[in-house]
Amino acid sequence: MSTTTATTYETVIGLEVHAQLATRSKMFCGCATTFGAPPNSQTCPICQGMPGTLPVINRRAVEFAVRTALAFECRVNESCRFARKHYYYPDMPKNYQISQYEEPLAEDGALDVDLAGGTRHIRIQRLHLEEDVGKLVHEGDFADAQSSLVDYNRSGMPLMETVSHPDLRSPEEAAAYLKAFRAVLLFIGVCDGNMEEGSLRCDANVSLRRHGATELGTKVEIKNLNSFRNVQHALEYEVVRQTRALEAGERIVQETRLFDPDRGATRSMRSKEYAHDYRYFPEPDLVPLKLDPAWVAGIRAALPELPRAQRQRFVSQYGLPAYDAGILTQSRALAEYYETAARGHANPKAISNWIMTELLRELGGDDESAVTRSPVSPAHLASLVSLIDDGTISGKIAKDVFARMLGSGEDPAAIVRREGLTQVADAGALQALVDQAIAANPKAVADFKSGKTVAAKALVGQVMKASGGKANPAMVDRLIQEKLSRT
Amino acid sequence: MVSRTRAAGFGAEVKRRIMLGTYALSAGYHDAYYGQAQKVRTLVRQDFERAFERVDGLAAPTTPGVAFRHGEKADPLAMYMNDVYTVPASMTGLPAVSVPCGFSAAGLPIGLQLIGRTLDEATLLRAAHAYEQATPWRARHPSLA
Repeated sequence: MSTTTATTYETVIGLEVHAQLATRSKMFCGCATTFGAPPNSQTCPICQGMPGTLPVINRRAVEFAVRTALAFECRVNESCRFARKHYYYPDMPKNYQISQYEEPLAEDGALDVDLAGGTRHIRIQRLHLEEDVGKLVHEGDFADAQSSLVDYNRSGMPLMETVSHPDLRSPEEAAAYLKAFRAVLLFIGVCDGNMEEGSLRCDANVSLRRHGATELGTKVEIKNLNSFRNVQHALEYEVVRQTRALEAGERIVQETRLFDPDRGATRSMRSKEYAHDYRYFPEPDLVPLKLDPAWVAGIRAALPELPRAQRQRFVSQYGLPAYDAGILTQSRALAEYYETAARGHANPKAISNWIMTELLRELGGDDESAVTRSPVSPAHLASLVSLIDDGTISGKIAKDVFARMLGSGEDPAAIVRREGLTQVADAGALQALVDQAIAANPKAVADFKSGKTVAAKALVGQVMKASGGKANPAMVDRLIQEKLSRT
Repeated sequence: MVSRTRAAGFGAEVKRRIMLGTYALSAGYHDAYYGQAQKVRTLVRQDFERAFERVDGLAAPTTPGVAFRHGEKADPLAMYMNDVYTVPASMTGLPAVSVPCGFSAAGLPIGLQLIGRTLDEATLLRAAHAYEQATPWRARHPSLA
């Protein structure tokens, strides 16, 4: 299948990413935006769409959108306009969504995505602001629900839509783009990036065309992909489905499809003839939004170092593999954590290993709230690595110490001192344990003498066990080798 | 329930306007009607701006005729035509005011419309006030038979 696709058809994908902006109040009213509040507790006549109410633009949301636009190297329009997008659904009380249409906030940007095969330059078409809709809660399954309830807490939340050009060429590229996109949002602090809670959602447009063709094929839109996995799986399914259809001589129908993660398949939601006619027109309740160039310049000046630049710096400055640098720069909080620990440290790679394997597993996330909750401070992690490097404790003991640090947040040096975990590197003290191990394991000794040198490993293990893991393994190994070759 | 409520609750003119607006904004007609109307409005506005280079205000009738009897005009188009003199100021966002300026042979009041520059309500209201002070019409009332 994939070989056919690779030879006959080229996959063309464009993504529309919706990001909820991390403002304290909603896009057009003063309601709070806390996730998980009791249903309809964060609503007012404006976000409930009551007649006679008037929207007021949230300055912070505009600032966040401008910051994002600048991070993606977009042209920020000096003047932009809001528009009414009409459709009829109970989760949207006004029967129109305030969005932007003809004059968006920003246009013509790009995001460079690093992939195994090199860097891809993905162009961004436009970035605009809009309001989110409410949420329907169905009683039981959607298909046979007897009633549905509406929660308007999400109604009017600030939403930023960023539309890429159809520059992505595979499902993996699409997932990589979304990851890089999310990393930028987290870095500049405009979105919490929580895909499970719906803070970041994505629609994908996908079509196939014969290699070398310049015109785009008929596209299919896949709605509401809420994880990197779903984006990739839904697109993989769709590429296979469209390839089969084209090879069978069928035409692709322009339609909207929905991905069912449980079945790993997409299904038709509505075809072109039932496509919405949004009947856009300029929002008469809001005057065109004019941005002061000095204000925009100030936002540009305050932009932090972006993930890609930071990733490249981590490789050159700390000698990290690109893989490590990629993981550590997934969020600004994690990158800062790493730098605090690694700056001036003799072994930055070991610190990276500890973060990637032990710390991230325990934190359950790489976002700011997860990282700032870390009971292990960067300084303590750095000193744990130093304790291993200078031979004070073994790597094995270090894991126990780390577990204690997670529980108590203590300095590893204090734990090692109190618990007497200092590695035994005193040949005299270890010699007795080595003698005992050799005396107790005649079979291992015989194996060793008959040429099975690996048998020495078993003896090292015995000594380590007897020392409670505190023996210096290299020294134990040397003592055993010496003893066995002498007898 | 939604369609029944609306069918019963909205009058003929409201329904007509909803249909017209929906049609004018629909895909395929948006540019021909809504887009075109916006362009025409800009031209009308520019026309007013040219006039205001030479004058501070414009005077015009408020309506094409005096008040008609309730239900006398059943034709919606005739109703729209009745608004023809006030629509330009409304569409172009210019301030306008109507003051009494006389009576018909049958004794029905006639309005004079004054139109001013954008956001220049002050000049407009001063002019309207001066006209009222200089004429006797504001003090006369039609007989309500």
